[in-house]
Amino acid sequence: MAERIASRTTMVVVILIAAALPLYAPTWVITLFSRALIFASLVLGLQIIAGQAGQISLGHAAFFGLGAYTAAILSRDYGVPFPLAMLAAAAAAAAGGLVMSVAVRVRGVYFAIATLAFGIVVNLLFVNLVDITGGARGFTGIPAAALWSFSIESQGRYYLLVLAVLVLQYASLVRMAGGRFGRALRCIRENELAARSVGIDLVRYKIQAIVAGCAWAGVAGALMTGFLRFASPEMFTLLQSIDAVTMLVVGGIASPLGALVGAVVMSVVTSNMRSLGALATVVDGLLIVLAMMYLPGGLAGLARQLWRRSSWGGRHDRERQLGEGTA
Amino acid sequence: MKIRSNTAMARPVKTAASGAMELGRLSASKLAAFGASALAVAAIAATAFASPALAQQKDIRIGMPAPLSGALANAGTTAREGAQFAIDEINAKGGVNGRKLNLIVVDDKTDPAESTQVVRQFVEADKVDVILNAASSTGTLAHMAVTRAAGPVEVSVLATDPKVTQGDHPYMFVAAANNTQLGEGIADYAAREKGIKKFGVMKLNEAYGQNISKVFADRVKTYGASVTSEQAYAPDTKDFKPLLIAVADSKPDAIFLSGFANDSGLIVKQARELGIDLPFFGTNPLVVPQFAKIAGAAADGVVVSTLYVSAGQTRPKTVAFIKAFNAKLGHDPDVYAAHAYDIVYLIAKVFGDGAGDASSIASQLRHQVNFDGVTGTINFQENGAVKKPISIVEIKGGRPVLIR
Amino acid sequence: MLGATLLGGLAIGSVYSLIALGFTLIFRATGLINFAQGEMATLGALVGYSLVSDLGVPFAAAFPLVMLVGAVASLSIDRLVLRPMRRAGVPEVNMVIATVGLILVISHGAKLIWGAQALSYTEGLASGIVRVGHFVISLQNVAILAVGLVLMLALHLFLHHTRTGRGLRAAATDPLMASLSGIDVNLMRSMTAACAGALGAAAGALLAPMYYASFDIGYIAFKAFCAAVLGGFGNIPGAMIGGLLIGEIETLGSIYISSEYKDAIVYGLLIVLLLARPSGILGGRAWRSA
Repeated sequence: MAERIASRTTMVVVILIAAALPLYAPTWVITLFSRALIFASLVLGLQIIAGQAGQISLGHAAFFGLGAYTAAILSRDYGVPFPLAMLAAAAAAAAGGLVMSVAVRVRGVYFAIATLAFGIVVNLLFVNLVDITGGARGFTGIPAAALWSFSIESQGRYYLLVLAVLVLQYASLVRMAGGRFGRALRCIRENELAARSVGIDLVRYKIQAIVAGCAWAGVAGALMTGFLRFASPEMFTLLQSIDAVTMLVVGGIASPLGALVGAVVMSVVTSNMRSLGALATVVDGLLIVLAMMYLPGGLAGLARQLWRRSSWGGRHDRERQLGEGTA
Repeated sequence: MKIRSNTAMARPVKTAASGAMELGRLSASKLAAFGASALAVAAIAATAFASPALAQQKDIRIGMPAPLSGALANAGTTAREGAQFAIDEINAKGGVNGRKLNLIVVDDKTDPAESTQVVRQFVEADKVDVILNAASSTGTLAHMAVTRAAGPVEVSVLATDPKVTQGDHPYMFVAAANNTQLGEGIADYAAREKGIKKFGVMKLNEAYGQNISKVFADRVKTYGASVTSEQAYAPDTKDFKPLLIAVADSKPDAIFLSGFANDSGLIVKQARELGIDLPFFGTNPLVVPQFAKIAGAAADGVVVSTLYVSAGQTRPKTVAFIKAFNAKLGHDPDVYAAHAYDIVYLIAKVFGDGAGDASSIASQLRHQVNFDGVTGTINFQENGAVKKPISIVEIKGGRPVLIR
Repeated sequence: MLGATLLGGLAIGSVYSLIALGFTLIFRATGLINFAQGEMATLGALVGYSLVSDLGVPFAAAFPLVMLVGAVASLSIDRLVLRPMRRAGVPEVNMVIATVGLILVISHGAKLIWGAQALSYTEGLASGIVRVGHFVISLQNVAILAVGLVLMLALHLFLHHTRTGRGLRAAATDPLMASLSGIDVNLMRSMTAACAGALGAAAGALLAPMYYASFDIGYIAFKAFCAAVLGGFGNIPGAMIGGLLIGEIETLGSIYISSEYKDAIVYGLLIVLLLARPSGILGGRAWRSA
């Protein structure tokens, strides 16, 4: 009981500190974190597909883009207000996810290739449907976001919007992970044969995971559109899909916390190595290799280990183990 | 002494690799390894967050977002060369009214979102006085929102998409002729002057290619010419033979190249290998040495509209520039380097004339009459675009030679 | 002209095949997808350039050197990065991501050394054309196809008709039994990595003279990866056939179907094929959970 309160308090404190950012930070720091949080939202979606259901998707950027363009087109060309555009973006990306989910008939590396192929095809649509998306020259003139009459034009307000969406997403994912759906997914990830033997409908759950993960990617896309007020196909390619997977695994594939940590850390760190030029990318790659070699559970895994080693965490852990009878 | 401490740092990582790496158990060496990397990361992050007010306040700070990695890395790199060369020249002569020029170059990775963050940091963290914008067109379209309200002024090298100056941005200037002028220039030469009636178009399916092939096609149609076939290709295509066959089958009289040096060089080379000996027309990106290197002998005879080329220059100012540049850097300046050079001198001039804030800089730039740059005479229009004469060059012996 | 194009498709296809073989070999030996395979081609292309165009080494002499460089590079990656991770029991997906990190390290490290510009070879494998009746045949394409096939044949002979080769296969198929029979499984894995690296580097050195060498050639790995999967992942003849097939499909696709969507066709076909025949054309191994 105490542990639940403790971790919930930690969460609230973290959210409050994050929400207070616009008060004490210059705008460029706010936008740095807005972008980081948008990526966190994207990677959290990936975590459902890859982390929980165990299906590595190499086409995640396609849904980021589907959401982005849907929101962009609706808000600029049809005057749809931002919250509705965001929902539509989620729906469009979810629909795309449904299409891609025919690939669940194949597993593992074959599934990964199918998602890679899907991502490339969708990107080509962005590039070639010039009348709809503006093509490779980009989609400009996206209006500022607004919650009905409340304008979210300033960077501080937009950051708070992104934060709010992220908190909602994270909370719902943690709930889902702890609930029946999440447990079923993890069962599937651990051992598909065993999962099937206890009556879990693999295909149905995998499809649901994909659609859910893609829907959230769509939301992230809408957030990116409102943030940048620009979209172009080069932002939604295989490279970005790989970046998403990398952020997830570096952060820790097994939990939503990993997705969050990975996205925020990598996006902030890579942005700040800009002065090093090409060397920065080499360092970036080296950090990824080192993280994979020494932190198999990702950064979140490391955080958890440090937590357990600390006196407070250790006690919490022992109590939990005693309670569960696994000490 | 120094060597020893370096190996001491290296040791924790080595023992971690060969020693215990059990999952779930943190050995001290593993922690040290991670700690070292985390410290390195934190240090790097800290240097970026720390406001770099190390330079004197008197300096004129020029922020330069440039693609140093990604698709346009070539252009970004040479643009930086040109800018730094100009700055070194000016500073050696004492700077501008005693103030030194300070160039801050940051890689925007040819990514629109990154470009936006870079420019924002220039404005707020680095507090630059002016921006020498070497970002791509899409990067610029994304990041212009940051400087639209209150500046600083941006003068662009690469952002030649006409949309950049159609956005009602009071502080945006593009010092290079835009894609419309480039495309129409070569179309005028090929269709009007040379009277060619049927064109095949090789369309590079990204921002520049999509823009310029449309401009070209629309323009040649006004002269009664037609496009017999348009073959689009993805940026990293290397095998063009199937596309060339398709274009050739449509029986054009000439082929238009809408892409960059690497892809266009391969197109021309493979066309000759297939025995297609139609004339080729192209635009600015093909005047770099890369094009002739990749195409080999096939490059000869290709006619290109360009904003600047070093070979065959006769203007004394430009000749002097090329000579000095070559002496210092060992190669001729390319079109991006030359434009970046001119932009630095433009900036120096307006600051020298007393401009300080964004509005005065913008106003002074607009009122510059016939600024004598190495790339030609520069006059800015009201919307920030520049009207410069396009040159037509032909590649002869691997080098571009002025023909118009 | 059709003949020339078909041959060209096969030539590129054989380059894909070589890289695909690298993927397949490593996968069979370790169950791991090593995405850094593409970077072996990058190294092969650039080192080959330095040897041939900078140092004037004749292509025929440079080629085996380039393969050696690839072998050493791949071996180093295996020893320094992958083996320690295997020993620590790190999850497979982590190892795969580590290889993604290596892609960044190698390609941008190459950029620091060789620069961002595309580099042209002064000498290739062969040049010129030959006319056989209606057909115009590029000697370079023929040479590339020939060398590719020779390498694949050599690999096959090595794996099936030499003791070491059989040891490699044994260690890949059943490491436990192999080590019980006295085979040094780690050594076999290292040798497999070396082979894969050599093949990848060869692919780069074959490809680059046709086009150019640059630090970003490695992207070709994704097409090769698709080729390996198409042929049946883990299946060696499958990798060879998959590569040639993808080369041809790409080429034919861009002639006969709209070119904007050329890549979409190849990948769309891939998806359809995978759904129809989930284990690839020749049947491959199921993916162990990752």
